[in-house]
Formats: sequence, structure tokens, C-alpha cells
Amino acid sequence: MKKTLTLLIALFFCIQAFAQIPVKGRVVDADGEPLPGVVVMQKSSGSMGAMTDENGNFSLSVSSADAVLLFTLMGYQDAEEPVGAKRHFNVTLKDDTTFLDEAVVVGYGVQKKGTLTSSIASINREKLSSAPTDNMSNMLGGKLPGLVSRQTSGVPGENEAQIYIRGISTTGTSTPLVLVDGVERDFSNLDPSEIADITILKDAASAAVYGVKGANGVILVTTRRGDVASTTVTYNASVTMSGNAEMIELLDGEEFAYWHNKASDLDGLMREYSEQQIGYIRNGNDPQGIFGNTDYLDLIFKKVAYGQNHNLSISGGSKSVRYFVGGSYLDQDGIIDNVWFKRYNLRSNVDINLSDDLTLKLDVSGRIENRHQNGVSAGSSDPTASLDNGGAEYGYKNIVFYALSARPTTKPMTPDGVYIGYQNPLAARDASGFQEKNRSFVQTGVTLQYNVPFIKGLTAKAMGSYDFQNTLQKKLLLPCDQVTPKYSSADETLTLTPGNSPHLASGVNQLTESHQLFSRYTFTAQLNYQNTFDLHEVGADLVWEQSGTSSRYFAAGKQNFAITEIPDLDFSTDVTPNSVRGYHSNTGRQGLLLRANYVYDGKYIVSASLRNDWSAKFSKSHRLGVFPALSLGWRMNEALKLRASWGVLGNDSISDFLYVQGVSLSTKPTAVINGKPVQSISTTSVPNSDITWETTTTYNVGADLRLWDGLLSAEADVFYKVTTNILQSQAGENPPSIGSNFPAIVNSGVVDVKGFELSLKHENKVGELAYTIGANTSFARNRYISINDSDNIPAYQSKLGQSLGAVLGYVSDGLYRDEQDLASSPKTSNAVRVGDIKYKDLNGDGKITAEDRTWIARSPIPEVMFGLDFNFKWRGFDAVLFFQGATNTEIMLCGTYSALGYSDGTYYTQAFKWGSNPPKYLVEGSWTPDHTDASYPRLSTQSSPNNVYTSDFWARDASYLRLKNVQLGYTFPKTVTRKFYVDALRLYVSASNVFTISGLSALGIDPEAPSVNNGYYPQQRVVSLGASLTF
Amino acid sequence: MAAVGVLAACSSVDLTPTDRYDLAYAMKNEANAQLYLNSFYSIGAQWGSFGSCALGGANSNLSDGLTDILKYGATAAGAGDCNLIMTVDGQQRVDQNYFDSWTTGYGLIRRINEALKALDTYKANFSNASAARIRGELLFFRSIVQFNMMRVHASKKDDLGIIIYKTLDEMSIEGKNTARKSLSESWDAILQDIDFACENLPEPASARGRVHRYAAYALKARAMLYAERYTDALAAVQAVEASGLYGYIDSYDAIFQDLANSEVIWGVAYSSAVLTHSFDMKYSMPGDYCLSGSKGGGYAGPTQEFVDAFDNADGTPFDASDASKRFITNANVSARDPRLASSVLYNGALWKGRTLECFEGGEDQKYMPYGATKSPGNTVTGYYMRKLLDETNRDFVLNGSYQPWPEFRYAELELIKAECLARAGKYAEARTVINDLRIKRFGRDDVYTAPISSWDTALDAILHERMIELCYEGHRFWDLRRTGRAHAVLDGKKYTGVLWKKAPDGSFTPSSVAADVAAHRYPERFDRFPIPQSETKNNTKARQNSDW
Repeated sequence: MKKTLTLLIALFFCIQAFAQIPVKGRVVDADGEPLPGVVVMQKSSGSMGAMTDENGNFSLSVSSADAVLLFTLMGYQDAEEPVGAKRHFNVTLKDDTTFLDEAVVVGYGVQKKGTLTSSIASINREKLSSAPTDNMSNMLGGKLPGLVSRQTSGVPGENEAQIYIRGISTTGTSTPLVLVDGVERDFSNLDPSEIADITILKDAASAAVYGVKGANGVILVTTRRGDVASTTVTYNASVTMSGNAEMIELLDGEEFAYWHNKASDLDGLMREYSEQQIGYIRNGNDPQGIFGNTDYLDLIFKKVAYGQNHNLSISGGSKSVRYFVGGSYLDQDGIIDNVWFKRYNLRSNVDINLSDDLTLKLDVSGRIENRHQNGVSAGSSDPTASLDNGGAEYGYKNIVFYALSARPTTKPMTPDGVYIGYQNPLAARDASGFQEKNRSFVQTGVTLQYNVPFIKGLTAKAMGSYDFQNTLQKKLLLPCDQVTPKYSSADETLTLTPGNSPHLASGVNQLTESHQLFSRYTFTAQLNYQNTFDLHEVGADLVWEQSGTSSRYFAAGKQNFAITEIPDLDFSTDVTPNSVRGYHSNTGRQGLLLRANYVYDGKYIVSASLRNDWSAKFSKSHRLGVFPALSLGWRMNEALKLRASWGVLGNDSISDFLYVQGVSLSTKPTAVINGKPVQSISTTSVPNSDITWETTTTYNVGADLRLWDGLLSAEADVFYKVTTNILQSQAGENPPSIGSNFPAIVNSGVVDVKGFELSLKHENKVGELAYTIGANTSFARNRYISINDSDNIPAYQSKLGQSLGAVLGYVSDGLYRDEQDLASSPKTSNAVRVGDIKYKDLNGDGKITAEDRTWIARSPIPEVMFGLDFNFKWRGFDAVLFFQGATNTEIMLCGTYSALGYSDGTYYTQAFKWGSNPPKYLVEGSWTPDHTDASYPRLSTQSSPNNVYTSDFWARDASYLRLKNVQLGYTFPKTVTRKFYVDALRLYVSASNVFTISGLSALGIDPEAPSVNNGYYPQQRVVSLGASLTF
Repeated sequence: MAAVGVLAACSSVDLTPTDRYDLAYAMKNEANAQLYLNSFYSIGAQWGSFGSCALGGANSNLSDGLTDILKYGATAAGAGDCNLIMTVDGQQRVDQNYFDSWTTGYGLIRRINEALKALDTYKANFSNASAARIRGELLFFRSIVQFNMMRVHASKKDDLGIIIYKTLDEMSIEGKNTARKSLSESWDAILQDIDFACENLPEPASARGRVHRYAAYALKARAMLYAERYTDALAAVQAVEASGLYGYIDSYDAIFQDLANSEVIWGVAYSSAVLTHSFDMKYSMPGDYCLSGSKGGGYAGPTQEFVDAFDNADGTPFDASDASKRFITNANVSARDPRLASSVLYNGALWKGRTLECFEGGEDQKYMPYGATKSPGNTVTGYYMRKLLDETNRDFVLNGSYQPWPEFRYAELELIKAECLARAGKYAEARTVINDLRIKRFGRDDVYTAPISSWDTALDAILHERMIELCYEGHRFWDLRRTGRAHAVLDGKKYTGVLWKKAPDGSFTPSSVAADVAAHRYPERFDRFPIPQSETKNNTKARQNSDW
């Protein structure tokens, strides 16, 4: 209400009034910085006033010496100064917001921190913009207690972290709901300069207002808006230099020849490298130009990849119009040639006061993202994501995979310029074509807010938004010749077998293009009421929301282009079989929310909400879901608040129309009737007319502590979350005679999660040194409470009580020591020799079979996350030191490829697999007759299926502590910069991913690397230099 | 709240799918229902020689490869399954069931029962006549599936048939514990379906290429033969005969070239490059280079024993001790039953415009003895199949194979008739039926046909004629099995082939070679192949067949 008042006063500012005594002065804030826009008026005159200029100066006339000057500015406490004999006033305005009155963004509104009863965490602009990043999702880990993140890749534009709030609580979809300005939108590619704050809603009391979408937690992102202030122009520029943070160490040519020969000896096979060849490798003097010593990792990775980031924002405004306009440009090169990401963001958020009570907000933002990679992808975060790249066996192939595959004992190319080696990374990088993905987004929103004049505290608001995005993809795959050398040391003959590089074995070039158009509309109407009667603070909200999405897709491909310099479909008539596709889909959701808050005496707090949701994913009778929540708070005193909450949330992340018996029209003829090929209709999966919400009930107890005026503050939460009716595919065993007549997805299974979050903060100022130290940790442990397991599963294989993502495998028992050990120990069905991995026979039947598997490793998603940050400010200097870490997590070096569903050895566990270059640790630590105290199994050039089963032998603790960010900045004194018309100038240097302490570092593997992979694009270490200018 | 009411009226959740068809669409009218029915037509060929269940279970090896007439060269899984099953003890097990017709069958029955339920739900969209016809087609396909399941899994010893699920709703997780019906109850249920089809399917003229009533009668005849209900089987054959639409044609080869000849009662058609099978790719010879450069797989070859079984050109039995005539050449082939030249390719035969090189080192037989390599990729008997291969298809890799599959043909029905008559003791009539067929095939009215004086001699004649006439069509193994002769004919046997050696002067010398290392075995329990283990594990009432 004070805002309204201020504005009203300002409205009268222009009216010339009678005045006798001229006074003037300067208004500053607690730090001595001048405050522009402060309304200065004679108290109780109602009509006279002035506003401070950008230097905080004002002048006006008062009617008499008895007058009292009133200074008001939003966000500051009012100040009064009696005029008396004084004619010049130096006024300092105190910050208005006490800690407890700080506004926090919650669902469909803001709340005061002091009376908050739910569990939320937020991060503001200052912290977000302090570390450079090309992806917002990567900077949240360790900063927000309760948020679990895992960044598995460093590919520019595709290095998004997986984010979970309070871990995983369902076997279904676990990704949290992300809302940007109240609309479901992706936030990871917003520029940090656009964002005002990010809040995560963790418990039911905060997230239940989002009903069916809230079960996995909610991330609320608020973009920046303009204030009543003079125009501020901020320009920020940075240059980044990135390089691989961790990289595995492979053998060089000579070592490869040595170990390969040694392995061949042990296998009883002919050596592949003769002394003469080894000489060629060592000296590079092969007269045929084939043998050499090549470091392929060194060849494919640049030393440094450069990037730049610029953003310009203009904000300001008057009482009637306020604006934030910003644009940014990001250009990030990959550490591999031809890999890059460019992004252009634009945003305009405008607030217009149409009248005293009616405000119009008009938000338009747009974004273009251009991603470019080689025909063979640079390395996807999911080791199996690029399945379209080839057959199942080579599904995970990427350039790094090629580099690990290549033998270091040959030159990369023959003297004639033909790539040497079946999988040559240079061929993959330079001659495989390209793939590009261009995405463009337009996001719009219009909000009308009306402060109902007759009822104090009542506001009506309507918001409509329409977003659309286009995704255009183009992929040109080019064949490339290679020769595979085969050398026989017996007769010293070298044969070169020519062939196509395996990325396109057909040898026929292909061009594929696709286009997806996605749009979403959201409409929200709400009534908010907030008022205080004596000691009673009352609030109520009524919200109606509805949204719908639609998408359209088509794709086409042609092949056999005579020339490919201009890759357009027009230039061939040869349609790639099955490449022309098209479909569309749409869905919708609507909800009604009722919420009420009551606070007595600022001490006793009750909040309750009820959300009804209707989702198009379910049949009419199962469409309505009811999601209640209740929370209580007790503010014992200024220092301590206790709170508790309970609530029910939903999850409807399943395919559309599972309740409908769909039929599909065959794409090709399936019968020939009367001489004519005819199409046919057949039923798709069995419908589930009873399918309904997955339901999560959350209990949360928390305490907020703030001692010694912020010297120490703490927030602690303990929670328990149980998810029932999980939407999952029907497990369990059924006889074939019912012909699979059961729905693919049913509501079944129960999973629970328990955990806590704790964050501590120490904030102090010693002389001119201001510093904060923050520490936070979160823990979330999940387990299966009920699951459709087969009835006769042994107890040690039952999922019950196990955590989600845990790995089922064999228990290793060292290596077979000697022939006697080999003879007397149980074995798998594969041939084994001394030095191979021995497994425990859990069921005691004398053989190692699938029945002997049990739970051997934790999920790659950590149970514990922590962050520790130090912020210092001294005079113009500022410094940040941010550590981040995780524990209670394991990754598998080999095991089941998640998307392929089968288990096999990887380059990290099977030396010379597919002729690859093994990691140094694997051969140097391998078992050989003269190295029996070995940490890795028997050295061999042959595949030994026994040694690469999913077993605890290959599980690795993926705990880590990482110096995620260190930053040093200097802000030049205003007295200096003002001379150049610059309000503020800050220069900074920042480094991210500085070092990592982890058991995996010794192997050259990042602890966040994908579990079970054959080469991934490594996480990057980034150093940036930047400047920020404010005018 | 009024505003809320208005908003609720323009709901965003009352969506009907716009991106997919639902069941109502499939049953909207007769044209759409026909599209729906089209999805079941592949069932007609699934258990045939071009189908994915040619072995009987979900395996595309020809079941003739389990018998004395056809020999696969490979001993590896895939193209060597027949050899593994018949020569490796314990290869066929409950948990490694080559003859699991059950899982495939019930998957199809579920689909058919779904369609039957949909038909009931949307019956208002159809006239009574067209609803009956649609039901007839569905029940026809259901009975094909059930017949094939009975053929594999029924156990006479235990009087166990299959589980009969007539409606979709019975096939549920709640109702999963359901017992197998007795043999007679199972056959009753199948007969009921077929009878409905017989009565309600149209005449071929108005079926326009779709399933018609004589297809149903033919199925009835076959099924009732296996059910040992000879009266029903005979009546079904007579119904087909009475139509006057079917009869023998002059050319045996022509029967398999299209479905429009009067020997084919009903079959499944294919289309080049559009809807194809891979028979030629598997069974053509390695010298059969396609235009695209690929070559035939040479999976299997007829045995010398099969070749020996072809009578002399006058119908008298061939004397296999006569080595000069035993190994087929262009010179001696005409001295035999003309069906030999139609069914078997031999060294020197003219094929696709070239002379077949089935000699050691020849293009079509780079000879290696059986078992020497796991997948030789050429015949180990010195012969190849000719019947069912498409001589006109010069690129079976690029275009696939598209010769039609004649599921029911007149000759089979006549032989069923002969068997029914013989069962009824009408030996003379039975012999006449066989003789009529032989007159046509040998092309001479005075063909010798063995006399029939008892059930045993009748069965000798019938099985012999079925082996020759219906070779490679997937009958032999099941004929031996259902007549109780499988053990006697197959157990302990090793088969042979011919190896031609080419002399420098271009002349060829044959010698007999073993096509088997280990003897074939036919344990008694092969008379009833097990139902899948997952059935007995998860259906408390399902009984496994004895001895499995």
C-alpha cells in the first residue's frame, strides 16, 4: 500500500504550489551511495514535493520553518526531518526490508520470509551473475540445498545438468517442474543477466499449489523488471577459455606395441608387432608411411577453446512506465573442431500503470540457439543417446569413442592422405559431415493487475501467455574411406584393407532434415487478498489456470548426392527409405487453486491450500485430482522459527491418451488382397482406462534460525516423501496365454524418500572487510517399498528396500590365484583362466549364474550433495570461492548400457576391446604371471566375457569435492569512473571446475561421467576474464 | 466464480485424440473394418514355409528339415536349428522351446479377441450380414492359430489341449489361472469357430481376394484330420469339391506360381519390394548371384533318401540300389516321377539360364562335409530345392521374394479325403483318389499305384504321396508325428547325399556321402512338445505335458 501512496504523492509532484522557504539537500543510503528518485515533501501538506536527482540532490520550498520534511522511497524506511533553521539537509535512508520482511517468490505470488511455513530455497541475481556459465542448470548444484545435480558432459549447448529436487522419488519421470514467470518454460538457456532470482519449492506446502505437476518439486525463475529509477545501462563482456578438466591417459605407440605383444604372448598368439615395426613406431621412419606414434587424444582436442559472452541491459522507469530491456550473445567453441554453440537472447519486460489501480505488464522475449557438431557427434552426455548414429553395437559412437578406439601405433593418414584405422577419430571429426540444430523461441506474456479500490488488499490479476518454438535440424552424413592395416610379424607382411569409415558403412551420403513446431498457451486468472486487522494477518488466493500445448513434426531425408557442397534436399531425388515422417500431438491441463494464510501476532502461522487439477492424460472419470496441503509455523522470537507441513502432490508424466484404445494404420502394406498391396489397421498397446495420478505425499519439519543479527543463520529441514500409484510399465510375470492383455503403463508400486537439508550462513563485516561464509548439505535416500517383482525372486535380488538406480550384479572375490583356485572355485559359463575375476556363488549351486547377482552399487545420482562458499568484499575488491561436492554415489565402469539394455565390457575395463587403445591403468595394473598382485584382471588381447560382467569389481565411488568456482573482481572507485561517465566498472577473472578431488581422478575419469560409457566429451575447466560497465 | 465457470466451459482437457486413430475408427464402417481385418492376413502364412513360424514354433526353419527329406547344412543356431534339435540330446527343452507356438498364438488370439470385442461394441455400424462376415474372417484366423497350437502342444497321453479363450475379457491378469481344455473340448471349440466361418464367409467370387468359405472348409478338413474326426474332415473336403471351383491342373510347377489356378483354394500373396519374404535368399544356391551382387544362402538341400523316394516314370517304385540312376542328372531325371524335376535341383540342371554346379569346387557346392564348418552356406547333400523357389526372381535381395504361399490346395484335400476313406475301411475308394492324383502328376492314365488292402498299406501309400506331393510345404514332420510313425521313420537315422567330382575331361563321377555325423533322434515325448515354462510358472492351473 505504501507503494500506491508513494505513487500518488509523486503524481502531485508536478503541481506547482505556494512556497516560501527554499531548502535543499542530499539523500544517500546506508553505504553513502546517493539515492535518486526519493520523494521529498512537506509532511501533511499533501501537495508539495520534489524528487532527488541521480546524485541524490533535491531542492524545494516549504511553507514555514515548522514544516517537517518527509522522505520516502520504496524499499527504504521513511525519514522525517524538521526544517527549523536548517536549509541544507544530509539525509540517510535506512533499508526498509528487515530480514524477516524479505519477499520470497512462491507459487502464484510472493510471501514474506518471516511468515513462510514451507521449505524453499532461493538464489538471487547477485549470486547467479557472479560466475560465468553457458548453461544456467550447471550453476545451481551445491548452491541450493535440496537440489541434486549431475553434469555428465561438456559439449557446448548440450552440457545441461540433470536436476532433481530432493533426489528421485519415483520410477517414472523425476524431473522437476520449471516455471519462468509463471509459465512452464525451460530456463537453462536464459542468460544470467535476465534473471532476478531462482527459487526451488521443495515440500508439499510450497509445491502443492502446482498440484499435478508438483510432485518432483518446482523451480521458479523470475526474470528482471524495471524499477522507478533513472535509466541504468549495464554492459557485461567476458572472454572464456576452456579445456578438458579430466582426461583418461592411454598408451602411446611404443607402449601399445609392448603391451599388445605381451598380451599376445600370454594368449599364446602370434605377436602383432615385430622389433622392426616397433622401431618404425619409435623412430617414425616407416618407409611405407604407415607405422608411427600417434596421440589421438592430443590430435582431436584443442589446447584451448575460446568463447565470448556479451550482454547489455537497460532498465529504469517512472511511476507510469517501468522497463527492463536486455539482450545477450553467447558464442562458445568446443574443445573439438567444428563443435560450437551460439545463443542470442532478447527480453523486454514492461510495466505500465494504465491508471492508479490498473497495471499492464507486457513481456516479450526471444531466443535463438544454434548448435553445430560434426557428422559423428562430439560426444553426447548420454552414452547411448546417439542411437540413430548406427547399429546397437556402435550406438554410443562419438568422436571421443573413435579416439579411444584408434591404435596409437600408426600414423593418422597414409602418405596418399587416406585415413588409417577402422575407427579413425580424425575421419570422424573432419570428414563425417555435420549436424546442426537451430532452435528459436518466442515467449510472450500479458498480465493485467487490478487493485480493487473498494476492498483494501484485494487484487485481481489475469495473465495470458503464448510461447512457441521451432526446432530445425539438419544432418549431413558423408562417407569416408579408411584403410585398416593388418600386420603379420610372422612373415612381416602388411596388408591394408580399404573400407568405409564405420560411421557410414553404407558409403552412401545422406541428408536428413526435420522441423518441429511447439507451442503452448497458458491462461491464469487470480484473486489475491491480503490484509491485516490488528494482530490478525489474513490472506487468501483463488487461482484458475489452464494451459495447452501442441506440437507438429516432420522429417525427410535423401541420399546419394552427386555433390554435397550445398546440402539441400532438392539436389537429389533418391529418398532415404523410411525417412519421410510427420505427426502432431496436443494436450491440455487445467486447475483451480484455493489458498489461505493466517498469521496471528506475527507468531502463529497457518497456511492451507487445495488444488484441483484436470489433465487430458486421463479418462473423464479419472481426470480430476485433488491436492491438499497444510502448513504450520511458530515464530518463537526474532531468532527462531519452527515450521511443519504436509501435502499431497501429483505427477502425470506419461504419454497422452493411454486410456484410449488406439489403433495404428500401418505405414506400409501388410497384405496383398486381390493382387493389390493394402495397408492395415491394428491395435496399439492395451489401454488403461483406470490410469490416474501418481501421488506423492510429503511431510516436512523445519527450523529457521537467525542469531546475532545475521552473524549466524541456519535453515534446517527434515522430510519424508512417499510416492504411490507410480506410473510405470507393468513388471511382474504373467503367463503367455493371456496374450499380454494388460496395459503397458499402470499405477503400481510405492517408493519413499527421506532426507534432510541444512544450510548455515555466517555474515560479518570486520572493518572494511565484509564477508559471508555459507555451507549447505542435502541428503535424500530413496527405496522401493512395493514393486511388482517376480514371486520367486531370491531375497538378495528383491528390489524391496533397495534404492532406485542401484545396480544388480555379481560380487567379485578377487582374481583366480592359481590353477587349484581355478579348479575348486565356482565359474561362469565362460572360459576362465588364472588371473580372471572370481565371483561369489551366492546361492551355493556351484556355478555362477544370473541367480548369483545381488545389489552391488549405488545409483549414479548422489544421495548427498554439499556446497561451501566464501564471499569477500574489501574496498573495491570482491572474491568468491565456491566448493561443491557429492557423495553416496557410484558409477559403473562397465555394465548395462542404459538405452541398449545389454551388458558388455567398455574401453575402461577390457583392454584392447575391438582393437582399442587401453587406458594405462588397465594394462599396467593387469594380472600377468609376473604381476600376480594385480588390481585388474588378466592381460589379454581377446575378449573375456567373464571379466566384464556387471560386478562390484567395476563399481567406483563417485564421491567428489570440486572447487567449482573461484573469482576475483575489482570495482573501480566511482570518483574515478564518473569522470568517464561510467557509473560502475568492474573487472573480474573467474575460473570454474578448478580442481576435483575424487577417487576417479587417478583414472582420468570425471566423477560425474556417465555410468557405463565408451568415451564421453569431458567436462570443461573454464577461465574467464570479464568486464562489467554500468552507465 | 462466474468467470471460472465460463473458463471451465472452454476446457483444455476434454480432448479427443487428433493425432491417432482410436478403436471406434477401426470399426466405423465396412471399409475400415476391412483395413482392420487386413492386419490378420499375415496369420495365413505365418506357419507356412515362408513364415516366421515355419518350424511350428516361433522359428523359421522348415519343419521338413526335421525329417528324412530335407537337410540343413548348418550346425549353428539360426540356420542349423533343425540339426540341433534332432541330433543334440537335450537341445529341445522346456526352457529352450523351439516349438513354442503358444506365446505367438495367444498374442494373436488376444488381437483377434480384441477385434471380436470391438465388433460387438460397434455392431450398430454394420448390417447383420457384414457383421457375420467380419466375425467369420476373425474366427477363421483364430482357428488357424488354435489349430497350429494344438498341432504342436496337444498331448494325447495327458488328454490336454490348449486354453480356450473365446473373449478378450477372459484373458486378464485376474483370470490368468486357467486350465487347459481336454483334447475333445479344444477341438470342439476350434470346430465351432470354423463352422461359423464356413457358414458365414462368402463365395470366392464375391470375396474378391479375401477369405472365403472354401478356405474355411479346407481348414476344417485339415484340422479335423488331426483331430481324428474323419467324418467331419471328409464332409469338409466334399463341400469344397461340391463347389466345382477346384480341380487339378496340368502343370505341377504352375500351382506355386500364382493363386489364381484351380488347385489353390486359398493362399497368401506377396508383392515385389513391398511385401516380401526371404525364401529365395535362404534357400537359393551360392552360385545364384543377384544383380546386386549378393548370393543365395544355400541353407538346405533335399536328401538322397528323398530323391530315392520318387517313383519311376511309370509309377513303379524306384530301386535305390541302382547307382547309375540314383544320382540325378539331366540324363536320368526323365525316368522318374515328373515331380522330381520340379522339386529337386541337381548337378547340371538348368536354372536361371545357367548350369548348376553342384560338384566339388563348383560354384554351387564348394564342398565340405557336413559338420566340418558350422555354416557352410551350400548344400551338404548335393541337391537343392526347386519347388517354391522363384526362378524368375533375379534379385531376391533387392526385391525380396514375392511368390505366393498356397496355404490350402486341392491335392492336400484329396489326400485328406483318401485318408478319411481309408480310415473308414473304404480302401478301394481311397486308392482311386490317390490314383487320380498320380494320373495327373505322372501324365499317364496307366500309372502304377500301389494296391491298398489294409490301413497300414493305405497309410504307406498316403504318407508316400503326401511326402512327394506336399514336399517343403511343412507337412512331413507333422504327418509322421500324428500317425505315430515318427519314431520308426526318424529315430536313429543318418541321411546321405551325393558328391560329384569333376574330372579334367569335364566328366562327373558321383559318390554317396554322409550328410549326418550323429544319428537323428526322435524321443517319444516329441509327440507332445511342451508349453512354455513361463505358462506353468505363472498360471497355477496350467499343466505341463508329461515327460517335459
